[in-house]
Amino acid sequence: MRRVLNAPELPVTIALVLLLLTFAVLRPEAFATSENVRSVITDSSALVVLAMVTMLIIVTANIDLSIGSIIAFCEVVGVKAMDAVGGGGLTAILVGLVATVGGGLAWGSFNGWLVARLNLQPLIATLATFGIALGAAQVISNGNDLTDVPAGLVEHFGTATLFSVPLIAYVGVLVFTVTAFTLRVTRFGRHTYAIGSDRQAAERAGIRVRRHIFTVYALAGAAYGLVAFMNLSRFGTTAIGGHTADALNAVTAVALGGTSLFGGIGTALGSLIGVFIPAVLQNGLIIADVQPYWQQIVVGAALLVAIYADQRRRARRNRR
Amino acid sequence: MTSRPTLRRLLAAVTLASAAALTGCGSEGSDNNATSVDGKAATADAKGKKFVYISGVNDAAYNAVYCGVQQAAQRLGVQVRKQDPTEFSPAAQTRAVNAVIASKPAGIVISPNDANAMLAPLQRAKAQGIKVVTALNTLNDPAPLASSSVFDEEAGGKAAADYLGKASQGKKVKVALITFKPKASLPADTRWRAFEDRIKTFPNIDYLGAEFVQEVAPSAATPVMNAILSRHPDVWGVDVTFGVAGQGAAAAIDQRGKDVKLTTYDPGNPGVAKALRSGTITAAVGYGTRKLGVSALEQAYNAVSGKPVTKRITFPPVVFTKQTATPQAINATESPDC
Repeated sequence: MRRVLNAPELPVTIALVLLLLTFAVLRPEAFATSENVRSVITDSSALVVLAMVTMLIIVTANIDLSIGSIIAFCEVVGVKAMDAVGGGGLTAILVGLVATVGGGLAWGSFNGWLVARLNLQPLIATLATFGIALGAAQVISNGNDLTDVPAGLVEHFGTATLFSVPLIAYVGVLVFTVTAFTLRVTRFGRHTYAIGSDRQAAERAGIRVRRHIFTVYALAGAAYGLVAFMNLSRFGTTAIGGHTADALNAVTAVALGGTSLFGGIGTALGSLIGVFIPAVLQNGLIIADVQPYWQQIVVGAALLVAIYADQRRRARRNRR
Repeated sequence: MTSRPTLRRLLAAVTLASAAALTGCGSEGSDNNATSVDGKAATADAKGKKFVYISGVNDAAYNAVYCGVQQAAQRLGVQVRKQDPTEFSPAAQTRAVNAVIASKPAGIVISPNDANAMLAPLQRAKAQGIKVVTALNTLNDPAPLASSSVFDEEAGGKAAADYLGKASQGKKVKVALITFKPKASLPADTRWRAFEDRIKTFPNIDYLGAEFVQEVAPSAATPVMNAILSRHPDVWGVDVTFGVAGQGAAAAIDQRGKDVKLTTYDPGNPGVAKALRSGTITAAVGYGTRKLGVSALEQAYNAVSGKPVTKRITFPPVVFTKQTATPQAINATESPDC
């Protein structure tokens, strides 16, 4: 029982449950339907993927602001690659997947190199990458969004369902499961917590900290590429100018979920729930005919509560 | 005696010399058409003269305008190039204007990023003897302008409402609207208000009000459309005030397997054009963006050659549907690819 009460995800879980109940009571016929739940989950899938890897980065006491630009770049590169192969068949689609994930992996590795090898401050280094990657996306696409996405991709993946659940949603669930498993069970996960908790102690314990941080950034980059692929398959177009808030949204979700921005604390479940708080708010407020402006106020307030709770927890821990 | 002070002085001298040389060379940006300006004063005829199009930023709508500008330039026998500000802001555009003024073109066609802030830089251009014409957006004070070619955004919003009104055929239906966060985009706001005013004149239509989108990305509009669909499963029509969000709304409608009449804008956006042809978007209001460019350059040409100029040309909306959104039609007037 004590473990449940002290769990960092507890406040946010309670918050989500309260939100769900409130909206379900207010508008049962509109909010509490399987169709609505399914669409909220699907629409949040990309952010779930982002939140998982953002959490990993933040748990190591680092940060990545370049998320949105890398996604924009990967979208462009993905379309260009599929276009180059031509035909719109399975080969082209697979090439697109390789191009997006590969492009993301490259940028993630670049970030990892800047932070882990060159020891640059992650906030500034990834801010620089944010600009460079976006510029590169615009150079390659000549400023215009590209729409030559194979129709087969949109039809058979982006809008396809399995047991009435969109395939896109399964991707989110898969990434969540892998992340949760990694953090809880594997050595990689333990090392991630250790590095964020006390970097020097981790080094002295023999953990290859720099290599680990590099790997985390690189993996995150690959995940951004995956999100780019998901976007292309859902919407059939790039959205070069539409990813400026991605990093903020990911960090918000992660922070809401009880992850400490100082590192060392955070869970996949918490970050998953953190993704759904703003999503459920937006959905519920529109359904309840409340001005959606309230969403930003509530999310901001919730964020304050979350980091205050984290602060209290850290203070308690330091007192021992 | 160390070489360091000498090196420093040398570095300073080189820097100053480069700065001077660059200032003398004038504009940044790539010169698409190699120009050699004829120094002779050819007053009555503008043939061979240099014109520059200053966009708002590098994006589809302005690229479409430039397609029109290039078309007219070819026909009239003048040189033209494009200068893109680094971002959509009056500050960045002012820098571009200053650079362009230094290159001394005969005329400037510009899509101002702010109806007030760009007045001063364009007045400077006029003072240098450069003829200034606006396209797509214009200034509140037209003093420095020879002419302006603009959209009628009000008519556009009205056209979307009329399309849905007519299609409803007197039946009692629900219509929603999705727009960009208020005050962030003048065209979107104008279309929104004009749509609302007009849709309320249809007594059979139950107008559900506006919902807002925070980002210019399809993924931002999809959750909003999903929420509307959950709240009003019987919603019949929706107007989305910019094409990118229209694509997102269409994705939500498709995913839920609903049949909703979706009107939006920007048929020049290739994604919107594709969705029009496949039927996921029912109608898209265009304005003949390229025509704006053609018109603006023509007026600039007239101003430079002393011919009569039309001060203000307003372009009415054109509603594209599945039948009329052929690639030829779109390319002729809307597409940014040329």
